Amino acid sequence: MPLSFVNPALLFGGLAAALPVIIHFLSRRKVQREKFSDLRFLSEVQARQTRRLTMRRLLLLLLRVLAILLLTLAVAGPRWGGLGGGLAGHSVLMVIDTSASMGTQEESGTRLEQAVADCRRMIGMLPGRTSVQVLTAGAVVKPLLGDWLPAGAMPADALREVTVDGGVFDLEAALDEAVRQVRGAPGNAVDVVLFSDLQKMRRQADLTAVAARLQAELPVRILVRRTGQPVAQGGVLGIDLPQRVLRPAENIAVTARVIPDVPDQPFTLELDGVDVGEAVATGPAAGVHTLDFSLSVPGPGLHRGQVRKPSDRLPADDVRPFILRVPRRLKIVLAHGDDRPGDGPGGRGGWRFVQQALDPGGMGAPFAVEPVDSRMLVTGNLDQAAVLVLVDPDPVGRTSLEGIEGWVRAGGGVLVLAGDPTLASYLQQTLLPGLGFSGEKVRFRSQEQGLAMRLVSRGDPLLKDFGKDALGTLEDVHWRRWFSLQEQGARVLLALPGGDPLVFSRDLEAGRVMVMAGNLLPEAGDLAASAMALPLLQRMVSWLGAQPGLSSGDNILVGQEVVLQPPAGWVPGPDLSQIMVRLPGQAKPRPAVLAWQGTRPVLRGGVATEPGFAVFTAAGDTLGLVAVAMAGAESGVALEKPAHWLGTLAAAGLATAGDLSGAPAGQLGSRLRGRDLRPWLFLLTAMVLMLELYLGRGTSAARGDAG
Amino acid sequence: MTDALLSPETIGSLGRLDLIARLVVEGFLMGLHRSPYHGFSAEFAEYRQYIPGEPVNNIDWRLYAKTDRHYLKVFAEETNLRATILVDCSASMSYRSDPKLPTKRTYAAWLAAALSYLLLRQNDAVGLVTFDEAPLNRVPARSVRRQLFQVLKVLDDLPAGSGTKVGAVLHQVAERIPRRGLVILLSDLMDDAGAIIDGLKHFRHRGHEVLAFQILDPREIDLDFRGEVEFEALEEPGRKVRLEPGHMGEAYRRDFGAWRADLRRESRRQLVDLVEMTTSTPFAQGLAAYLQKRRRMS
Repeated sequence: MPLSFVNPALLFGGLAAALPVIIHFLSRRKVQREKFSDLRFLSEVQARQTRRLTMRRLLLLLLRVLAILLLTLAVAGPRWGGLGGGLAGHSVLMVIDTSASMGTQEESGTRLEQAVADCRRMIGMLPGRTSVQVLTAGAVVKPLLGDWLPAGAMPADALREVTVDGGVFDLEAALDEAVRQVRGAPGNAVDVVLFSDLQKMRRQADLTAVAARLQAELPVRILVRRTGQPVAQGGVLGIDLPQRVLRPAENIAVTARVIPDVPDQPFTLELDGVDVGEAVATGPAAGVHTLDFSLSVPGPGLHRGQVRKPSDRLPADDVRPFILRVPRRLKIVLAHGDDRPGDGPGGRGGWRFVQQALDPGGMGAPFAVEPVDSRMLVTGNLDQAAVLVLVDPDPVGRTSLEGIEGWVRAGGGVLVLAGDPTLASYLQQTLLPGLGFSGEKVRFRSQEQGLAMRLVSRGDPLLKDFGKDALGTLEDVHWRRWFSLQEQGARVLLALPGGDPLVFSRDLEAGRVMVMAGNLLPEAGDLAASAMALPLLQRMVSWLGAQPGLSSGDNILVGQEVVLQPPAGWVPGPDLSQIMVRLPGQAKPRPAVLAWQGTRPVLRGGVATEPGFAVFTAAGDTLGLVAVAMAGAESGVALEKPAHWLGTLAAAGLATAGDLSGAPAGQLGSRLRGRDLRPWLFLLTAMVLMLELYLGRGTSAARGDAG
Repeated sequence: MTDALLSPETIGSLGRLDLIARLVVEGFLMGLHRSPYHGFSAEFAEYRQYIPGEPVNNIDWRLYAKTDRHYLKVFAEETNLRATILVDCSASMSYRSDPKLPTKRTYAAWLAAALSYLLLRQNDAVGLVTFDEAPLNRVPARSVRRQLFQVLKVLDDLPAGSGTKVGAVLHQVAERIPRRGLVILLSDLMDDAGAIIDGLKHFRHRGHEVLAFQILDPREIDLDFRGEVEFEALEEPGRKVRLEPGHMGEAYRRDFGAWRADLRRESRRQLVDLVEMTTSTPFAQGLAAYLQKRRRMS
């Protein structure tokens, strides 16, 4: 509603407007009776004047009622067009977007500087009794003031501490913090003023729940002040590295998703401080381009890389860091059953095929496969091994199996390929229970025509980067012999028609176990003959050998917590205070928090607020790196209109008071509080009273009524 | 001083009409020494020999002392004027707005008494006619001293009449006054202005000089009432009008003033002297108007 009141309770004074009416009717009962000499003139006057007099009296009555109503309205402090704020009993919560895009340089400073100036000006225009709190919302959402403070110099001075933190503005998170602040707000209503460039959100937040919690605290009204204008700016939105274990000296493609701000803009790939590639985003500016950089993988280790572009108005997203992890060759222990005459050249269960697929030979091979007869397998074989592959194994001794189980729980990975019908009992009773599965209902199945394999989850990390053709090829693989293994709680990757899972996995504490309910013999299925056999096996083994919880390159976004799993075998020393982390943008390192995931240590460094590299050290030795990138959502020119945001907020059930955008800075106060109508109402009241006096001149005393 | 003595409030306390008439006139004549009307009424004309049996009032005793003969002072108008006083007794004349003030009828009676006294003191003949819708009482004009008592007797017992038809009554009275003379009308003239003027014309047609006193109550002029008032007509009991004089007074005063202006204009046109008085007006004003008229007639 465009009309609001500073003191709405005073509107009850409008009931006094009934007084003139009451007095009017009371006074009409007093009729004086007089005898008079001649009624001739009186009759004529009465006939002529009565209607006019009645109208005049009604008009006078209306004028008096109107005067009281106008006076009541004036005293209540009416404001027209006010969007809220500064009204009696209202507190004002300022939410300032400090995300990276707010650092965009414009003619009158960065967007954040404009927003802070607007906020400071608005605080200065609020009545002194209005309570104010300020939230900064970027990578983290936090209150700027310790508590609600009266509008004035203190909140305004505190705004000097507001800086861009490089994160993404998360409206849901901001409202979540607003709930906590509103809970402690003085007064009976809160006006939330959002200062933001209204960067288009890549993720559509579900605000319904938080809106309900917010409204449950106090009546809340949302106002929006958009700062900044869309300007041409580009950035590096993301970098995709091969989702597999890299081998030194191999050529890989580093894919970057970029937004150029000028046509045909060159982008540079830098690795360890050296420019190693360049690609040009051909075509017009704006819009997302995909660039492929060719890179020769360096030697084992962690390498700092970045893709950069010529700087524009938002420098924060012009450089996107990443970490290229090149592991030493993973040691794979391939335990297989003893070959039998009918196994063919692939050996028992096709283990030689598996060996060839994982370790084709040469220095660039990602895996160093060590075949071993399963009957001879001891836990000593697993030293320095990353993955144990069991292919139709002969029964392993119980002691060895217990050792394998402990090794897995400590972080090892096991791949079981079982397709031999004789293994059913062993799988059910010994091997699968030993690896954390139930092992119930193991049934050997065969189907002469074969059943085509089905992809259960195309978005699974193991399948994510396969193209459509590759996935189609996988679905062409037919299986003729397999085990029916129904495991509750297992993550099924591939399955067969009828519901039998073919490839499934589960975590066993820090380790991983994956089972393929078939082998690579030709009579079992077509996988060995498929072009996808090698990529699939490599992908499976890589996944098992990878550090759980860490993505390739340990790349995270601003606003996320920096977490590092130290290298295998690292043991924290007695002085935990020597484990430090230096976050991007921070000159001094600070202590990291040591936590445990099962038996494996995890280091937590807190939330990164700026892009760059986070470095973990322990007693001076580098434990690892984490690349922190600015979210791609902050790049680009897409600023949304306030109405869209207000519509989103309203759809979530929040009361929206209006849009402060576009108002000149000097008029923010009046836009917030509305135009003060008091002078006009007082003037109008005076005019009405003067009109009343004019119409009723010389008659009010004669009438003897106060109405 | 004299005006104060002759004010209606003071005169009313005397009670007896003869005293009132005498006091009014004597007080008035005393005031004439300082007034612009000095010498009008008792203008000496000549001496004539006294005839035994005549009143001894006008014997000039100084001349008798010098000549040892009785001579009478004869005034110029002594026997030329026959005045007929018409007193309106209609119901509207019984109105008064303030108990301190006399009713219009009482005021008219007092004024008529004073005029009669003055006229007879100047040896003029005085007659009286009272009326409401028709003539009520009639005292033929005479100049004898007893005439004053005849007139005062009627005036002292004026009836409370009913409605007013001043115009019609004037026609009737005009037909009944045989000789030309002075007609003095005391009325509020609450009738149609045209009818009144027609009646006055009739007098003029018969050769009479007409002196009309319009006697009104002050509130009839200004309608100074407060609040809502229900007025009941004195002449038509039961007829009521309810209004707020505070709001309508201006229109009333405008209409009433226009009506009075019409009367004034038409009276002037017919050479009728119209004297507007209220019941709070000192009688001197009325007597002075009479003397002015008397002088013009002489």
